Amino acid sequence: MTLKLDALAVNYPDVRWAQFFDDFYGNLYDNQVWAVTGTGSVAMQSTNGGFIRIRATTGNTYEFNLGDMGNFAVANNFTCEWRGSLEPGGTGLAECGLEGAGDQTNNWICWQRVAGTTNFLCQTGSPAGTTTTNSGVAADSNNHLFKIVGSPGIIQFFLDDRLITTISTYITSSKLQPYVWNNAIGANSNAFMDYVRVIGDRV
Amino acid sequence: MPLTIPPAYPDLLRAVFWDDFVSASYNTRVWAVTGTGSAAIQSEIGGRVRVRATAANSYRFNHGDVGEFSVGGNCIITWRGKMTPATAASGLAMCGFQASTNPTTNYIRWIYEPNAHANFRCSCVSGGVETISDSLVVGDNNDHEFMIECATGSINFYLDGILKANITTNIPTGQLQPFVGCTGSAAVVSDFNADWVWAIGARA
Repeated sequence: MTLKLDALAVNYPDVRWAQFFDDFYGNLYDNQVWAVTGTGSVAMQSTNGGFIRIRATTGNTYEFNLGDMGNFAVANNFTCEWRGSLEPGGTGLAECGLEGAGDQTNNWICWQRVAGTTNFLCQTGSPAGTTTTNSGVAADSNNHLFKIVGSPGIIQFFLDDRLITTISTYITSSKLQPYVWNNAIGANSNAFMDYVRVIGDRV
Repeated sequence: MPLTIPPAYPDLLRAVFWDDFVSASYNTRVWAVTGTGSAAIQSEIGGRVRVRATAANSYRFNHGDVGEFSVGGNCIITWRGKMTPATAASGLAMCGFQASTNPTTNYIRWIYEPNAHANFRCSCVSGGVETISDSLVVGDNNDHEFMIECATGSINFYLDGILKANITTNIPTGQLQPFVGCTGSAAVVSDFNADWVWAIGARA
């Protein structure tokens, strides 16, 4: 009966938390899980390690999200990681993080890059308003680990595992899901994502 | 409290199956269903799949017909969820391992059948012959961790981490797969709301 002890010692998966992970391997993304809205495209990339390219075509917006299920919430604590690059074109923007399930227009927590703006931005949005904080880190098209840690009253933003800033206003109370959103103004806007992982408390 | 990302890799010495039922759909390439009812992902924190037998019907939600585990190979399964069977006659909910061949007559399960018995019970069924044991825990509709630990000749049943029963007879042989089953009563549905399932076993 050593198997049980071994299994517990392994501590995998850590069942205290709900977990979602997608490494974006393979020639198709999982369309049972991911939903898309807007005008653009999702294309798997033949890249070492596997990437997904999420693109809004010029003059349009495009959203890639987890199907309005809302399995996470600030009230239940979470850690969200998107690894990849944000590459808006023209005067557009690209962002990644968590958004309200079914009410994403007014509820989100994201890392954002706006074309023409020097630095990456950190942002929270709720129906009451929006808080945007300049990260102070120069935006580029390199791969980064965009990490957000949420718990009641405070959202922490990490870039490549370094705490950059915190926001404590306009924090959404909605149920949340991972998302990428691009707005293409004057040129296509892209996000190239290597993986996404979200964990949170269970009910 | 802020959370820390857990370890990235399972213990590769073991075969591991895990489903957290987080996201917009259960994996229809992995899970199979039989009978009359439904399996529906729930929009709630942490994610769930609700397995439901409609009134007077039976419904099973199982891991294909693959069978990666076996008693002889040692294996453990834990289903976390809540059983809400109909309280009238024939209403039941159950979870555990079933055989990949002849699954309706070969399985190892936790069962809650309120019209027949007030408590959660544990059973092994081989060739349709059952050994059933009372856990002595009053059944309810709350979340529990229903765990079954299998080794040759001995099956241990744990509820929320505490050993509640041991069965040594009518243990099914052959390959096993995770399953949930429900049977509705004449007029009421029966549900098992699964938060996650985790199975682990020795490799061949």
